[in-house]
Amino acid sequence: MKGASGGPPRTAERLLRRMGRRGPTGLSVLGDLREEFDEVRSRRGGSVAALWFWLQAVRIAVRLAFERRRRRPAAPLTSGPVPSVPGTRAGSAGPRPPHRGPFHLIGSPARELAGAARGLMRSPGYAAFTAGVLALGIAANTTVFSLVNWVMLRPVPGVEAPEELATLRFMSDDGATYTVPHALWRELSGRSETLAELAAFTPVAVHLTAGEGEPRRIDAQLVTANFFDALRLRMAAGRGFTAAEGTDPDQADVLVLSDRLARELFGGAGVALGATVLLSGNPFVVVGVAAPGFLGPELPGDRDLWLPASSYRQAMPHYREGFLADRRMAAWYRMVGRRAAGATLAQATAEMRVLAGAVAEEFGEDAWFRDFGAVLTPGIGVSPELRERMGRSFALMMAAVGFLLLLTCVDVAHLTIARSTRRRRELAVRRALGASRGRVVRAILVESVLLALAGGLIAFLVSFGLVRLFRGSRVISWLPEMGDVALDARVLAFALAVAALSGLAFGLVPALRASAGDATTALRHTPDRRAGRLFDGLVVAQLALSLPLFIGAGLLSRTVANLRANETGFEPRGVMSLSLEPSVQGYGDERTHELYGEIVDRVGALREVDSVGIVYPPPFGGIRAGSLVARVGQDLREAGIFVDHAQVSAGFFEALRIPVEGPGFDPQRVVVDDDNRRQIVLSRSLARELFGEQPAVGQQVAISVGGGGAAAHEVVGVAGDARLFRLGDEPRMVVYHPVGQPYLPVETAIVMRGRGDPQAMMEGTRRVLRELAPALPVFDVASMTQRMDRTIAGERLLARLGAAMALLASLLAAVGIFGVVSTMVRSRTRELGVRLALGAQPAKILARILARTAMVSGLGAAIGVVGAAWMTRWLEGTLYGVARLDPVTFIAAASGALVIAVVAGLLPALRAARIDPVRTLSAE
Amino acid sequence: MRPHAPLGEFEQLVLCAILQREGEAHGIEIRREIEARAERKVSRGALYTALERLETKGLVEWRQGDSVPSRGGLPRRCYSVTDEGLRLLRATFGTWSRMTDGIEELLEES
Repeated sequence: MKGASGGPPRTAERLLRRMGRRGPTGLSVLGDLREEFDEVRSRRGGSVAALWFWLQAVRIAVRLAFERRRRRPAAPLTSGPVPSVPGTRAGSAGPRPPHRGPFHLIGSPARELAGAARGLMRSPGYAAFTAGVLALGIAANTTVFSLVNWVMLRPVPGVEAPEELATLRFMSDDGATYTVPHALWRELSGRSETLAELAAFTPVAVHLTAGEGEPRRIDAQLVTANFFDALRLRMAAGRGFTAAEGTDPDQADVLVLSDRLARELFGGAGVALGATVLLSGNPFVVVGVAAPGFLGPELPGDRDLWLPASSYRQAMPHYREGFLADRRMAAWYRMVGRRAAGATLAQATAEMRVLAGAVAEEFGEDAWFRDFGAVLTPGIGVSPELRERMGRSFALMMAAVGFLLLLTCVDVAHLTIARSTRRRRELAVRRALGASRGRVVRAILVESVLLALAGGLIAFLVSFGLVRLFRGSRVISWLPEMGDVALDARVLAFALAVAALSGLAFGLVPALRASAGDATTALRHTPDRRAGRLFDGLVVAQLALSLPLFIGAGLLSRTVANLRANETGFEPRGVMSLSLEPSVQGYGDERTHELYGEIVDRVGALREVDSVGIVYPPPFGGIRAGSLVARVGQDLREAGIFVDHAQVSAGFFEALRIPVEGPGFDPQRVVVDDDNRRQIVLSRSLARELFGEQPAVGQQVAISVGGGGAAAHEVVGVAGDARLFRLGDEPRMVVYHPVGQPYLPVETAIVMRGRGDPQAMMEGTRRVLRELAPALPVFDVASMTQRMDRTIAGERLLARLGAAMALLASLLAAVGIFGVVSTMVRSRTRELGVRLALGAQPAKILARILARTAMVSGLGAAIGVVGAAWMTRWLEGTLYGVARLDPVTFIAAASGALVIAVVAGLLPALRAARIDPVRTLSAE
Repeated sequence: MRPHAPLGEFEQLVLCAILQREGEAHGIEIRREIEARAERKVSRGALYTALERLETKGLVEWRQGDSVPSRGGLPRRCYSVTDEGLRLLRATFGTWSRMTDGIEELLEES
């Protein structure tokens, strides 16, 4: 658990505070630990420091508690004479003597707890093993839950009274969200009575240079001036925007940084305040730093900088003049409103609809947003659609770890039964002496829950380390990478609740069993028939529970393998890419063309570079541009095919090794000019679609242009089909244009194929870029393989988790089956001894035990297979290239599980075969 | 106050460390001092327990020291050894030097 400001975990602090108040150390220990926490954090990072703090706090608290308890009984001796009462012992205040331990003054539940703790101390092996196994299961659950908590449940940091907030969007009938004009926001926010404050924001990217640092591309948000007021965002330093900064371009050279960016650039929020940075070369002053953790009103957030609306001219030179003033220009992506006192969400929704309609009426011709519906959803943070998407992935993960937890419960239940069987006589004696059945059941249950809670605490601490494994992964491929996941009180509560539940789950059966039957039969030490059946049941459960995990993991890993094995249509290895946005830096078309030409010339001339090309959209970048095409002479509206458009230089095909038939683009011309403006290269499938088996090169193709017209283009080449959008998608039909046709895109990627060391190639390329355009940030530097993997990040995360779960499950199943067979052999030692003495073959005994294990396991596996067959429906939509009932996976998983079961049973079975009949019988 | 039992070894280390850092002997410093001079790991739990015990026995006392920002307003606690503490430490040291009298060469680290 981290404090809000990245400080020490608050719950751990509370623990130290309590200890401090109760003894002479006071709060100095907490102070010391805070001081050291700071050092640890700066050396090892926030999560390690938080874990460290927890460990230290618990250790100190435990030591102090023991010390104080030890001292307390002695206290009366030093604090003066104790008046002695005839008939009682000096110093004993009540009916109980003080040596009964620390809990003796508290009521009976506490006494039972103390009794259970003492009982467990007497079998430390059992206690440690049980708590350890449970910790494993609970840790898996806690870790996945902390992920869910971090991504979906936690509130947006720093926002006050989020329950009053609502998010306003404008959606078309098909569910797409549309960006709406500034004027619409102005009217809505001016007229609304149900929303006291309505702010609007839109995602932008800016180029930032701070001091002598390299220029960087920062994900930012353009906001209306009341944005921070509407959110009631706590500021780490400084302020939000004033009304004037939102409307007057001359005052708008101000910005607010995220806490993390302020730390990164300036070392702290306070230091950043008042500093001047350059955005696209224009000076801006830092007037505020947002609350730590705040990265925009949406979750998962990835915004690090906020700009007032009217600053766009200086911060984003590529934005068109009139971006705010023109009613036809789309400006705001979403709005966030704070409900006025007494206004309900329904009222606010109704009002927004009415107002939006009225505004559309007034705007007349300009109201292109007329048909969009105003949709108001409660709160901010994760959008409902995203919540649903991620919910599916998380439900899968939680189901998997749930199974794992059940598996640990089965393991532990067996141990507990074995233990209570050994204690049966003791329990029977207790009942014979008058203890009620309820009392005995309770005693065992208290023990189980106590163990489980210990396991839960361990699990909580272990999770601090485990969540670090998720850094950099993505729940859904297009989401931002996850940063540090922090654990909070909700996660702790979850861990303890899961622990308590599993304690009850694995304790109940043993408790009922141990206390069942009348005392006399139990005392007569007869072998227990029912125990055999129960143990068989446990083995069945082990297999039935682990098989769905094996099968799920198998299907997911095959999905990832299939995705990766797809024929991409190009050679990704050895290709690196990076992105540039010259227009954001204020480059005009002319200058951009020149820059691209020089980049291709000079990077291509580097010794390490084999070929270099320019491409838009960046491969696997998630952006698509499309329109209709047809053969010249056909009616576009009737015969037109919807295809993707890309802009490339000739070097692109060469760098990616995409074969091109025909002359293709002229390698000497990097960008569009009057000669090649109407030249296109078609992807092979599109060429076939348009011209069948006829040669496409030399043909004319009509492409729709804005306003319903069409322009004829000449095919100069046919390129091989390539998957360049998503690994799981079929290759799309693409028209390739020269770079800059029909217009220059904001972001373009440079792709290069190297000879040898890609690192050297990147260094050389960066050097060239620094010389050509020193102020232009280079971003999204990645190899083509990394870009491809990014598009299947969600599947990869599930597959990795699935594999981890399956590994743990096989371990737990093996341990469990080993334990059950061992217990069974031990309880039948006498019987087996007699058999051996009567001439039974040891090999036969071995075979019988193994056969039984195999049979029972087979039953479990069968149940598991049936269950898994039903459960794989949850994976539908996630799987790729493998059926959800894929026989190979099912058979491999089932036989793997059986092998594990038999191998786990082998060791105890061998022991059974080696029983010495003489010694066994003489021991009776 | 009844006469004190002899000091435990760790208590001796703590008292010595406080004397070594007289004036700036707060928790963190004391621990570092012992770790540096005695060349052993000192757990925080053990240290704070010992300090609490020594304080209860009246062998150390403390005054509020300065604070640093990372402590979030909680002042440092600067420990010093009381007269009684010093007396006991002297007694321990006396015993020790009488016991080692004449065998110093044997005990000297080479």
